[in-house]
Amino acid sequence: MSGDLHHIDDLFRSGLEGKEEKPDDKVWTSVEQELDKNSFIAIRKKYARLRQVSAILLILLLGVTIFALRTSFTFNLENNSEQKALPAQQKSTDANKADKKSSGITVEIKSTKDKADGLNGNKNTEAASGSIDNKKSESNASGVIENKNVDPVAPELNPNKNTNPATTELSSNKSSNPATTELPSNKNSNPAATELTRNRNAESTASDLTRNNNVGSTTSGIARNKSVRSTTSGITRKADAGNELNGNKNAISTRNNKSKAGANSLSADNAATPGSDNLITAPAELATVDLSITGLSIFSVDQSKISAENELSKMTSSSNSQASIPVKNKKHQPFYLTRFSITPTASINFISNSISENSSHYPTTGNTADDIKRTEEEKLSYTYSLLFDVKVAPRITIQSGLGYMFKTTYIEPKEISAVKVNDKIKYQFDCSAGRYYLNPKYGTWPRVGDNAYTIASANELEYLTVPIAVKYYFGNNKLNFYALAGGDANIFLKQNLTTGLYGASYYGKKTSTEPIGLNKVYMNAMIGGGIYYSFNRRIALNLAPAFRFALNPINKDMPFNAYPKSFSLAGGVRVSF
Amino acid sequence: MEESRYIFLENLNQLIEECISGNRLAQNRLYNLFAPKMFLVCLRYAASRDEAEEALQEGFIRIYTHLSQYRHTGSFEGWVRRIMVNVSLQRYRDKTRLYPVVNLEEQHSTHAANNETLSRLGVKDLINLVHKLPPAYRLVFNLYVFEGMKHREIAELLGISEGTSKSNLSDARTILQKEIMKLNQVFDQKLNFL
Repeated sequence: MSGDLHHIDDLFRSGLEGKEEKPDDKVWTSVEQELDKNSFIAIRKKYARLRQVSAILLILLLGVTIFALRTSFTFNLENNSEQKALPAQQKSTDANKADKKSSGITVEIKSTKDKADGLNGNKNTEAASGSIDNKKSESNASGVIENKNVDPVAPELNPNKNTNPATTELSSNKSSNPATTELPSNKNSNPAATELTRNRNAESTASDLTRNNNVGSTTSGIARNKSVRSTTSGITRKADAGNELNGNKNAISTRNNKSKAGANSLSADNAATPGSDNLITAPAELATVDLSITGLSIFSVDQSKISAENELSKMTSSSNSQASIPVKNKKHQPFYLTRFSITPTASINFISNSISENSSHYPTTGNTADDIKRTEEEKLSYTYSLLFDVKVAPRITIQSGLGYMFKTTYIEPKEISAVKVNDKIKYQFDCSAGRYYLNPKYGTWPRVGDNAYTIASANELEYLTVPIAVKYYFGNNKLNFYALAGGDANIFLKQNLTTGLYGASYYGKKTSTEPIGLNKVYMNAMIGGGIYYSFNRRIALNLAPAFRFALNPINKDMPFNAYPKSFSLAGGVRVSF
Repeated sequence: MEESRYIFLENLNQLIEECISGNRLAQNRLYNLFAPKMFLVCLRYAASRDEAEEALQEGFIRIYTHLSQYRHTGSFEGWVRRIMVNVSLQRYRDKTRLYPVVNLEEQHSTHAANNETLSRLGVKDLINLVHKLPPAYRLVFNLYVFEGMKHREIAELLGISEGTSKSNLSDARTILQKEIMKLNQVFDQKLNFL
């Protein structure tokens, strides 16, 4: 009997070992379908990474756009203010030219000072015609201040300090030239200078640009100012910037000699006065400053000695800070927040879970904390919110609102067990977001303790979020920042698990609105900040990073506790009311 | 067919790499290469042809999923076969408990099969005979006869005692003998009829 039985072993071994049996073709079709499902999940994972990269690029693009907009806006603001002042200067220049033509007299004034001279420095033609160069104007302005103090010519306008021989020269001219006489006397005694000062102060806005111009434009300003023109008898001046007279201020005498000769029109070039006792050794160069002269007496004056200009420059330089006040005021308007604003916001949340063992949970079924840590990976989460801010103090608002948040967790293939639930045996699928029970759709029904392998799964959670936070603002109206502290309540809406069991006994999406092992509400603490870039008083662009830490676990009655923490980057548009 | 199989075997490692990278054509080739043999393995463990096909499908999915874990040490066919056996075992664990269902006293009274009858049986007949075994017996019989496992190993694998394993094997043989005798009678009747 025993021998017969062993003979049966051999019979079957020899009869079946190494033999083949062709399976039905539908098997390969089913295998293909199963592989497609798995690759679909793999593709979803791949595209999730792509979404992450896209989101980061979008944020960077937003940042660059804001920066570009801001830069462009500031540039335009400056250009606009400059352009407003420019026509006035051009008008004055035109007026000067008209004066010149009417008088038919042009006096070219050579500078006897070095380039550091406030009135001479960088006086080029463009400057005389009103071009704008703030740097030049700054140096010129400072030069003017220096002139005030050390320029030996300056005392020309201040007879008490008249120590320069050139002044004497000029003084001698004064005797023969009414214009010469008129100029210093006017500067010293004529209220025109005061009027000029007043006018300059009055035209603070317009003079802001003038102030920033070089001397040429300053001169234009003089010409524009009727009182000054009347004071200077409408002198059309051409001051060559950078001219050096080698300290020979006698050049003025040359000019004056010409004036004495009664010439109604004088060459602009000192070199055109050969035979003069006091030739200007340096040729006229570079820029010129026109001074209109309506009087018949025309004389050459060392520009540095034109104390009218010096004075003007002094006033100009002294008015620099004053003139800038309106602009500064414009930029530093008191910070203003509307009482109420609404901000539709979309944010990307980078979530991770802190998983810890739940010591108060004794049942040993299901996954442990280590299993969850090993198999789960949080993907990007998104939140769409409608937030409103209510002002409670000049720089403080309370923010609240409503939001919809969803997050996806990818779960590696893992082994799950069958358990008995309500007299039915189902596979128990644990994840950080609670527990699912899966019923095989076909095939053999599991028994308690049976294991099955899942394919890669995806768990989606949807929450309604209610944030509340205090925001403190700093910065100005155009670009302001804020710090934020608060929290939010996350109210469970829905969860979806997409998974499958090997062998196609189960594949599908399990949706639940009654979660098992999941808290219906979990709270977050939140700290963060943000930037508002205001286009106007009503509309502002908002970019707000924030950190969130869960105060209570997302799950309950599980062998482990999951505390989500996240870094979010939100972008939105604030509409103020 | 044989030639193409020879080529595939020569380039088996390359074929495996292609399968890992997700090349569906390579996966199909691998399936065609091993499915007939593995299907017979599944048939031995399954209660029916349909179940065997399910096991084969599940086994190949597992192979493709875990192919990157194959270390290229030892026979690839052995690795594939091991997966098929594991899948079959898992399916049986899912399906049934391992306990004896046959009255042994009744089975011991059967007659032994003669050699003439055994030589008439083909693969399908043998498989049909195996399918007639209760699941637990079939499992132990397969593991002992075809996988070459000892009763101690079978006992550890299935979570049963060694005695139960021996008993199940003995009962399986007895049932098979009985079935073979029945077949013998059928053959004899056919011969007499002819």
